[in-house]
Amino acid sequence: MTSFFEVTKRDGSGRVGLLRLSSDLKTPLIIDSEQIGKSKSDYFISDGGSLWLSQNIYDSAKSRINTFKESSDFGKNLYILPRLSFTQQYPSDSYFKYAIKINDVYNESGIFGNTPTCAVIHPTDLDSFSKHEGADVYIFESVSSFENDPVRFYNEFQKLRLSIPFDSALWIPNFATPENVALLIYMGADIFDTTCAIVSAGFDKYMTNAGIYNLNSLKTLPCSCKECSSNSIEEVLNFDKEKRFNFLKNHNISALESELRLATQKLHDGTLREYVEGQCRVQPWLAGLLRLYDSDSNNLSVSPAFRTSIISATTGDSLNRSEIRIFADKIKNSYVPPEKDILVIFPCSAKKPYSLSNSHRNFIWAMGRNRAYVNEIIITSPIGLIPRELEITYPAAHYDTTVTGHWDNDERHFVGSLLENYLIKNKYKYIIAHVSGPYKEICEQISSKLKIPFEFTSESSPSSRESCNNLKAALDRIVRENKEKENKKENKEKDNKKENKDSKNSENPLKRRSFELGKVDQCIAILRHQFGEISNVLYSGDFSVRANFPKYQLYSENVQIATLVPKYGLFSLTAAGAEKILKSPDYKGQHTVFIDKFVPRGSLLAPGVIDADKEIRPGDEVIISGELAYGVGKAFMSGREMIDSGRGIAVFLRHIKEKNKKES
Amino acid sequence: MTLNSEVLNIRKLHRPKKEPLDKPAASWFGKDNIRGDIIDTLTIIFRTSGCYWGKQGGCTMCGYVYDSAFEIPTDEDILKQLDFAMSRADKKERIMVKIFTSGSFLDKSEISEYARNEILNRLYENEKVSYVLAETRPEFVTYEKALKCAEIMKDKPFEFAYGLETSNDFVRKNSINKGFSFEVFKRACKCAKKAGLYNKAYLLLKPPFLSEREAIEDMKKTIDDICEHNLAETVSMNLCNVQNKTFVEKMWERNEFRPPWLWSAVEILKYAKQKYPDLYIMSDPVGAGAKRGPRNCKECSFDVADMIRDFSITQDVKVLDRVNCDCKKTWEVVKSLDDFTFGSPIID
Repeated sequence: MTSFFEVTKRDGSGRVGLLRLSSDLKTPLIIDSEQIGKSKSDYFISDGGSLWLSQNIYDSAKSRINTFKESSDFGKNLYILPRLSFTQQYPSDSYFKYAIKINDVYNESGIFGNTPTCAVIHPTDLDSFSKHEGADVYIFESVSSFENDPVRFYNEFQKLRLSIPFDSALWIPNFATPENVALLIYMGADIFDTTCAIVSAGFDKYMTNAGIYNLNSLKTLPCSCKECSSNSIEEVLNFDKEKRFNFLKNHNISALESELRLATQKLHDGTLREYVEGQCRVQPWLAGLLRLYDSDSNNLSVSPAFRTSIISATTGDSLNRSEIRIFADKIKNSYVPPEKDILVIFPCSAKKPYSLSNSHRNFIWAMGRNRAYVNEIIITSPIGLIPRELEITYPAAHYDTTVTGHWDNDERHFVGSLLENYLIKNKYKYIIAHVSGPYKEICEQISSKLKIPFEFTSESSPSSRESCNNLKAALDRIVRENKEKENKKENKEKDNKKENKDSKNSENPLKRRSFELGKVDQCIAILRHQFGEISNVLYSGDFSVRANFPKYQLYSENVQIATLVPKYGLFSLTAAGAEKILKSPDYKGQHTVFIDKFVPRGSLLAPGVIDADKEIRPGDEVIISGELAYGVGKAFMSGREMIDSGRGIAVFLRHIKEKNKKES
Repeated sequence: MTLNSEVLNIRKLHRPKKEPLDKPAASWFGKDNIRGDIIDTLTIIFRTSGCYWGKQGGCTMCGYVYDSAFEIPTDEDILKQLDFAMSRADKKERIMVKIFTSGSFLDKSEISEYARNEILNRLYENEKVSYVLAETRPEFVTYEKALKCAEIMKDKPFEFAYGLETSNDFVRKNSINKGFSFEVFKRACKCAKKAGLYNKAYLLLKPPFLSEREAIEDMKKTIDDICEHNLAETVSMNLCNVQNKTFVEKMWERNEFRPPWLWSAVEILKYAKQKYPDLYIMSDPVGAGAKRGPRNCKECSFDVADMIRDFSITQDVKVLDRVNCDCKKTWEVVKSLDDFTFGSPIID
């Protein structure tokens, strides 16, 4: 746990933080590499240096640390610990022999916690990891040899990132370029340096965020930074080496800095994901890196429960972003539709929630009173498949996508497989697909694959009067036919009082849910989506939904247990709701943050957290449980991060009850 | 895994080729400055059973191990190798002979005592031969062996050459995996000197894991240490190149190693010659300008390499100012930042 670094804002793995030196420095941060080694400087870094040329590395490390401890920079500057740097190929036995002993020197020096420190760390170093416990910043040793190799970079980066404490900063040295820095920030790197920018200048390379040019291949200066505005390409090409180097250095650093600032702004906005989906295209290996990041389920737990910004899904990689994967997984694994016999599949609409759109109003009109017999699902790219009950729940009503009428194969496959999975799990007597175009093609494909008949009711436009009439007619027919059968059966039963068990099942009346029960169904669906299986303790027994859509209030035994927050379609629990979950026989610590013996007020800080459900994501509704108090709040960081961190707000509290006392 | 077992694993993947046992692995003519005398030199690489140290793992940059014979050559084979190489000197009037085995001339399991004495005898008796040098690891040097060599060579100057690489024991052990200490080298030099022989030290510029600046500092310190103790009359600096089937090659393939800049060599040579005018310091930048070799930019690498060779012959420090290039600035930038890459070097 660190004392000199604090994360203040998160978006997925990306974060904004404060490095608390003699003055606070904001991360993401670019370090001026030219200042690192200067022994007398007013820069914020002090370097313990390499130990390679010391004959006795331990004595040397010890005396350098002691010298620093006596200097005036102690307690103020970020101190890079004296180190023996290796590359990835250095064999682990030989590596550990030194790494462990050097660590002992660090620990014995008592430097950790007393001054901001920075340790160089190797991804294979995890077994002896505790050796670096206490550093505030970690440098990824030898990372630059992974450039252009997405698989090795990702694996080692991730190994390292997940092994250092959440509340320490990660420095990726000799790596950042205007092309890659946004993606590195997105993936969770905090600190960079100007080494690549300066070295590139030395090699006459001109950096942009969309390509690195040999200076003499440029026809124009594609930038308007101070350097580029005050010189023309012709002039620059005539500069002598020294002048050319300085020009390129200033430009390259400026290009890197402005890309970093843009990415930081995007991170604050919650739109860094959209930006890196585009930016990673400039280098094939960066696009590969994003795909590897997306395919790693470890990254799901830091993905926010909701964002205030609209998801803009404009690339193939949008299908793989965590919000969409998590929603699709929950539909697959935990969604249980209300028991009905008819399924109607609808297309999505631009306006959200769907039921407020013109097309869906027409659909709802067409279903009329028959709607009580119908399960509705909406198919859409990129979210996949959305049951009507969850149409206001994040991210179902919180995305925008490119609409051309064309669906690519990835989208078709994604939506098709979700539909297939849904129909394997949930059996219907009747399936109506009120869709056209690519939606229809997907439905046809799944229908023939599963050998389940679909009835198609839409003409070329599903919302046209004609199509809606078709839908109405189809539902009327189904309901009428079933009523007739039912009547016949009743008559038969009256006639000959014998029951035929075989025919009974198929001859059952169509299942329906009243309008009031429909409200309950929607609340249950959202509760299950949010809290999983344990939520049944909330809606079993004497359960009622009060107030009007979308501001539902849930009551159990006349005590309010939750309120629906319309903006994200998610429930906020009351203390009574939390208590119900805590007392459930199935309760095993789900959604819970365990705290020490105290009564928290306002917000819960990370040091007060003893343990937490590792599935908790930032923004999740969480339960607080401690010896003296319990309550509810909204997570500000992931469960794993709360456990790890020594600083920062873990949970915004909403209700806290002292045990055996009245609500505070 | 340890560094040595890592190197050994690479060695195990490759076997020496089936080459004739009665021909040397290589021999060629060059020019050298022998303590002031500029002379044609015949370098002979004997094909022996191979370096004992290299066979059980060995040095991280060394690929000479694969020059060893696939089976043990007889004394007769070894002497035939000598005759074969010497026949190339027919047209020369005055030469120096440099003997290398890719291991140790004084290691009996490579060259028997009989063959060693016979080689030296023949070279002594050959009137064309003015000087002789033989390379060996220092742990094989004893005063008795040195004295025996001196007795055979009589007044013909004879020197031992050792791959010291660096005077830094930590670097020699953990970066190069050389397997002897600076003390052993010192002792060997003293024995040889006492017996009336000369000493030459081969140094290695930029072993793995050292930054460009550290590598330069390491060489300067090594030269200081040699001169301070008056150990060797001649120092030759090898610029670490990437040899086939070595640990360094494995690093290089993964962007973890870059051979040194030629400007770094120039800086060290200037430093050494100016500080120690009586020291003979030289360098042959093998593979200069190639991807696997020491290099500057594409424009100047060959010229700077030639400049270094000229200096090595003339020992005139002014020669080292002959070539200049814009990339000297680039090198200065690399030198100032290579310390802060934390592991991998700056790659161009």
